[in-house]
Amino acid sequence: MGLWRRRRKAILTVSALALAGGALAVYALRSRVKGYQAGEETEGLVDTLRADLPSAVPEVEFREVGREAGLEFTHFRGRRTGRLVEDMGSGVAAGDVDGDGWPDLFLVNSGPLAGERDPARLFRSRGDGSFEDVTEASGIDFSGLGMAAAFVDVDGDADLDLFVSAYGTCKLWRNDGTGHFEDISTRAGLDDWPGFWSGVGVADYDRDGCMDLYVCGYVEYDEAQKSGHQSQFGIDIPAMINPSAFEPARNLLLRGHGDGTFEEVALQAGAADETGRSLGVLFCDLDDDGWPDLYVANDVSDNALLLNRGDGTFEDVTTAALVGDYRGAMGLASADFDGDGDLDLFITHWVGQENALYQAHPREGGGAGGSAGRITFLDVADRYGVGFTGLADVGWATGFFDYDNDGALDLFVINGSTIPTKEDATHLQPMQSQLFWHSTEGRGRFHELGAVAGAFFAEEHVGRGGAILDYDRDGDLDLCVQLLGERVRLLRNEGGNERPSVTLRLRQAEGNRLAIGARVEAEIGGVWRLAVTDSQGSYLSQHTVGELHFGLGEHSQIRRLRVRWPGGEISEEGPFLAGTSVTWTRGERPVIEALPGFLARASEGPESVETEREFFRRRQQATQARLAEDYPQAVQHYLGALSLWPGHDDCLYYLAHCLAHIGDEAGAVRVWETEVAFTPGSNRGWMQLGLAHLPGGDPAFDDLDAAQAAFEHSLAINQEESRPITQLGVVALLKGELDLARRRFAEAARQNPRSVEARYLGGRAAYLAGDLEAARALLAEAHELARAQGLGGDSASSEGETRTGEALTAERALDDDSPLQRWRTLTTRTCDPDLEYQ
Amino acid sequence: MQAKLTRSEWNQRRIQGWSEWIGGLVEGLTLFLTLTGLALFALPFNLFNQHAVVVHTVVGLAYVLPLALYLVRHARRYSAFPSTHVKFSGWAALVLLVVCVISGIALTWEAVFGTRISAFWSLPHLITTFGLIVLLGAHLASAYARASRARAEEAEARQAVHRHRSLSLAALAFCLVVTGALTLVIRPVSFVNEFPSDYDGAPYEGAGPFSPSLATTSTGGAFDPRSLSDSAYCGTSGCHEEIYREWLPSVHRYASMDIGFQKIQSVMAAQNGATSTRYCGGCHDPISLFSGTKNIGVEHLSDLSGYQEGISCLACHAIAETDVKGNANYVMTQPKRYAWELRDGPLAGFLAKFTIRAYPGEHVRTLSRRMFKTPEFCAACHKQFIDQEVNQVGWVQLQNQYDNWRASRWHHDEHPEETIECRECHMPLVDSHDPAAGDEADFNRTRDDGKHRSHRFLGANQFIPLAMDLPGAEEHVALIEKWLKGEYEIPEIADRWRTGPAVPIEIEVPSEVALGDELDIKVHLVNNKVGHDFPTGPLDIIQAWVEIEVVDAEGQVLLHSGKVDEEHFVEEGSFMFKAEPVDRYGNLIDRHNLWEMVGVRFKRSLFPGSEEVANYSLTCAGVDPKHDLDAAGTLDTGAAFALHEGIVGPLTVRARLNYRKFDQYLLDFAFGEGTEATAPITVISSAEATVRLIEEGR
Repeated sequence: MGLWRRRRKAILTVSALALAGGALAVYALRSRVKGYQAGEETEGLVDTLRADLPSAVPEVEFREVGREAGLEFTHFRGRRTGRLVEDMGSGVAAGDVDGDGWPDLFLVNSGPLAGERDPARLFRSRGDGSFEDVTEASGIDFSGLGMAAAFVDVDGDADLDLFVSAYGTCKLWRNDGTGHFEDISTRAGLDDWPGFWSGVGVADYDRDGCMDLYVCGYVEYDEAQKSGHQSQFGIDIPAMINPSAFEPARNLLLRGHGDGTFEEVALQAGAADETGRSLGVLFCDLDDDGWPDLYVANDVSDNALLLNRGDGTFEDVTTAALVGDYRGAMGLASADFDGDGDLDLFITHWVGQENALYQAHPREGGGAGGSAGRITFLDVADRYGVGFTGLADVGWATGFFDYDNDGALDLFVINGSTIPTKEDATHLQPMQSQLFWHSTEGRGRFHELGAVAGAFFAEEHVGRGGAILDYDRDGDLDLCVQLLGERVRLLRNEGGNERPSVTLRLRQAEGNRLAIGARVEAEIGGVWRLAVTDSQGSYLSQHTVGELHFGLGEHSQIRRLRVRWPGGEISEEGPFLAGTSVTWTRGERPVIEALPGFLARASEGPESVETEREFFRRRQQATQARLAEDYPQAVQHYLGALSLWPGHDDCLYYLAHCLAHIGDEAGAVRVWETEVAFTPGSNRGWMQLGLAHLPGGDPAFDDLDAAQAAFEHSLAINQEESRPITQLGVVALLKGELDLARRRFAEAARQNPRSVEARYLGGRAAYLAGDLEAARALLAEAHELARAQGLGGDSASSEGETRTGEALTAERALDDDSPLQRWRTLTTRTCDPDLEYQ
Repeated sequence: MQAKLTRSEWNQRRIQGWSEWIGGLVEGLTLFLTLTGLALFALPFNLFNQHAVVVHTVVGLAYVLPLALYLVRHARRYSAFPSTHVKFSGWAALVLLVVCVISGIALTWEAVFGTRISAFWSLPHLITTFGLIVLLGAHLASAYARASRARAEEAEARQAVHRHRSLSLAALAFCLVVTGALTLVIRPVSFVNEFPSDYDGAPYEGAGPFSPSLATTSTGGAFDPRSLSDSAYCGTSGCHEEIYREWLPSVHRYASMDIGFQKIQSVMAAQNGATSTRYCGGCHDPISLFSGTKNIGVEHLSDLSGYQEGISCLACHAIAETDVKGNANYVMTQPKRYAWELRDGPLAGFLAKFTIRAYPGEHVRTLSRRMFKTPEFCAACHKQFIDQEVNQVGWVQLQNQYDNWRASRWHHDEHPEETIECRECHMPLVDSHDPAAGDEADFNRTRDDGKHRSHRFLGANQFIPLAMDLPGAEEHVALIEKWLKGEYEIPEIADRWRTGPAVPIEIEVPSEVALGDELDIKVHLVNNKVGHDFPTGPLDIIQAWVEIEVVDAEGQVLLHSGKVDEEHFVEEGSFMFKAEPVDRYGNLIDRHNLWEMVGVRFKRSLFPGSEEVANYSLTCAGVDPKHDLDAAGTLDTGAAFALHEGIVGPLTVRARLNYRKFDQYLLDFAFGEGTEATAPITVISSAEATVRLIEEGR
């Protein structure tokens, strides 16, 4: 206690200081609660809709090549004056206008309502991946407020005519087949229909062989009726750019007569959709009854599904089918993305609205009481990752396309706002467009891969129209995109063709020449995949008309192709090998062409060394199986190898032989056709084609003219060789042209003095011509030569000698006893022409 | 006669002699020169010696002046000494030393300014060295012995000797240290003998890393491309300039860069896999083969030096072993390089040349083998087959000049003196200033015949040197044309060879023919001079054919066969030397895709000394001249043509044998149809005959 007394003051001071210090420390060290900030990621939030990228995503880049490819085109010259008609943008149509096999482009233009506007332009593909502007030469002259474009053969003459929708009246130009167009709008009756016309669909809805058109009417645009401002999302929007401010316009159904004239039948047919502000249409057979239906995308009004009854009228089943999408719909796409054999829908929407992915659910037997209820749709956009991803954007052009050729359909969406920027009301807000890659891992999902797919998808633009095409014909799909007020973009797919593909063009000899609406099933790797010609919509645009694309993934061929032609007839063909473009005219044999842009890939082989190694491993296995005469196995190995290196000459050549060995002569012919398509200088390919068309094999292929053409081709490539001459002799012999046959065999014998065959068959020709003396002489010569064969010359170990003393050919597997093959066994017989040639 | 000197004066002089620094220096250097000289003579090729030869030369040259100075003073000092054996050995040594120095200077001159050192100088240099060892050794031994005796009496003398010895040893040590330091620092460039990390080292089971080529290396592993290339260095000024110039446009040089080869190689790589092109690499592109360049993922499959040099100097000269099996069945070594070789800079270049010339033993030993003279050595590449590994079907013989020659009249097992071997025709002797001139190892040559074997390897490719614009191509192609025609003279084999055209052509026709009768023309072709088949090489590509023309007195063409059309194809039905190799399905091997070849459908070539006859006939039947068949329907070689009405005698028959290196189909296939590329045609021989035309029924 004494201490306390003595040091009380000091103790108190120290204690007070300690307390104060402690308090200060507690105050200083106390945990501070940070105020919540917008956008903060707090505990408890999850985002199940988002998904991590799978480990392997395609290494494909879309490179902008518009200018270098010669597409000098800028959309909307002049200033925006704040009117709806100026903001809708324009479309692009892709199609082969001049019949050279390369897709050409028509770019629609627009501009200020009042004042000068640049014209729409036609760009012809030069066939080398570049375009030339042929607008003036083509005779197309249009500087209106253009909206959509569609190529359509309205007169059934097999060339593409051109329909353009606009604010004002629509236009139709007839192609004379040379790329020159004549304006037949007036005759077509289009002048009678002024309006605000948008999306266009093409089909032969009544199956009369004449192409019909469906033209969407947007709104009754009447500036006089509207004034004042409305507000959207805090930004003042003049009424004149708000579609809701205008009454919806009706749509047109133009029933074609096949001569460029039409009858407008929308109302009678129940297809006018008067309550919808229509922007786009799918004109295809959604319920798979063989009759093209209509699905109409309406802005700020319900969409409409109109099923074709088959009697010229349509039934509105929107509600029953659960697709009365009330959102602001712009772009449309349809394809069987989930591989279940029916067409599904994808719809792009305005900002704040998810895009829609309607999965089709056909109902068995639902058609009994008419079309209603036969099909329903379910929006699965979020589950597949394409719904919420569109919330921030205004989506326009779109389409299903397999851009990496992996066999699964991917999607693109071109975005761009309708709302002006805060800084400058003459400009609309730009947005990033999106590329969705379809991963089939697990339940399947789309992943937005724009960030790794080239500069375009990272930039912001006011996008509108867009079309899928393979402009460089290299076997992967490119895009052409129309940007409001900007230069057009051509996005070249780089890397997509590392996996193989097949391009298919269906044609018909008359009427609906491009077989629009044909339903195609392709068996690829044991799975049947569905595609329908020209079923997709996009926005104001048309993907390459009359052309289908099949990515083959890990496979090298479409084994079988089953086509249900418009009208219902079904035919099957195949196989079709990777890297080819197949043109199949109904009722004829398909014509195979190597995709010209793919030839470099076919000659250089795969990009990666690992793939190349694997290719040669498979090729080696194939060769071993072939030599072991395990032909089915060899076929599998060759196909496996060809999936990595489509167009590989040796693989094609031997694959065909293996197919022939297992009796698939049709397949063999198709593969040899593919071989010469890739390597036109392949003498052996032409020879085999010729031989395949000679009698003795599958009678379906007996075609002496085709055989002769192939041998002549072979001879033209290398006239110094004796075999085609011999075979031309055989053709002449079979055709009964004995003099020609004798001359051919004589030539062949001069070219190859060792040829037993030329003498023997020459003797036969002489015998049949009644020249017994010549026949006897030739037969004797053949006999002598045959006996001399195999005896070595006087030089040692000379070129071509083998240890067995005989060529190691596999030819003898053929029928040795046919009259054309008997020369092989000549030494075993006498040389009496009567016995030999009788 | 000098005045007699006192003993102390003698001693004084001796001491002066011993204490002269120059004496010690000269002695030390002499010792160094002797030791290094002995090392160069006696020791096997080594790095120390390479530097020693340089230091030896430098020291030798630098030592001449002090030596002379010393010797003059030395002679003066001791001239008055009694004539003892010491004095005698001294004078004798002086004579040898003078010869040694002069020959040394001459050798230096030769090694610096000449192309090689000569025996004329090197022999005296060597002999005098041994002489000096004896005489100078005796001289010095006596001197030292005497000095050691004197040493006991005189501290001064002892010191002088000691100084002398120290200086001498120091000079020796210094030179040895310099040489040793060079040995440690300047070592031969080391090679990176490694395959690329992704090299497919076992493409065929059980076969080596270079299979399907049979070529291999002495180590079985990779060889740095530098170790077999740089032929330009061999041909550098003052070395094998002449041989290098000959080689530059030669077929061995462009074996890899050959546009045809490159194209076919890339086709083979695409169709059959890059590793299979190793098959070609052994003979066409060994540098690339051994460096592991022929591997999947390599764009052009040729290393740059491999491409540029093809069969480089070393690609032949470094071969240590060959097997007559062919298909590049040889073993390649990596010759030891001199320390200064393959280095940058003029000094290094000079020293490399200098050391090779001054110390040539290893260079000659490793790069000039007796084996190189044998046909079997050439056979390693001039005999080819396709093995099952490549065609997957079975063994097929391809071009084979070696066995062809062995079976021919040019080869006599019993009478070697009558045999003509590969080198004697294809590497004839030419006048030479080349270091490789002269060869006492060849049966008909001498060490100094002033000739070397031409490295032009003249053959039949008159296309590529000009097409690729190789240096000296025009001269080279002119020689090939002479060669093809048999106009190239080779005096040293004239007594064993034949004269005249290589493949003469002769027309056999009757002296007269009656209008309406048949005119039979026989064109005879003989392989007169060629050492193997004519033509030889890849007969799927090479073509020789008869072009024949019959014209009447007014110039009307009555027959023309063997024309080349506008697309550069030889007319159908022409009499042609070529082969039609086929694949398993009877289709033509027409893109040199030998890996698919299983035999030939047709082959025509002339074995040495053998004859072929092309038959033609003209009838007066008045039918379509293109497609006449004679009555018997015999379809012997040659076209049948009709004599036209209104012809005027006499008829002139002209025939020639044309030759070209590449058929047009291959060029079209390789370079795209419509290519301008076409192989030039050489007329190998020609003949003309006249036939009188007489009235019918005479």
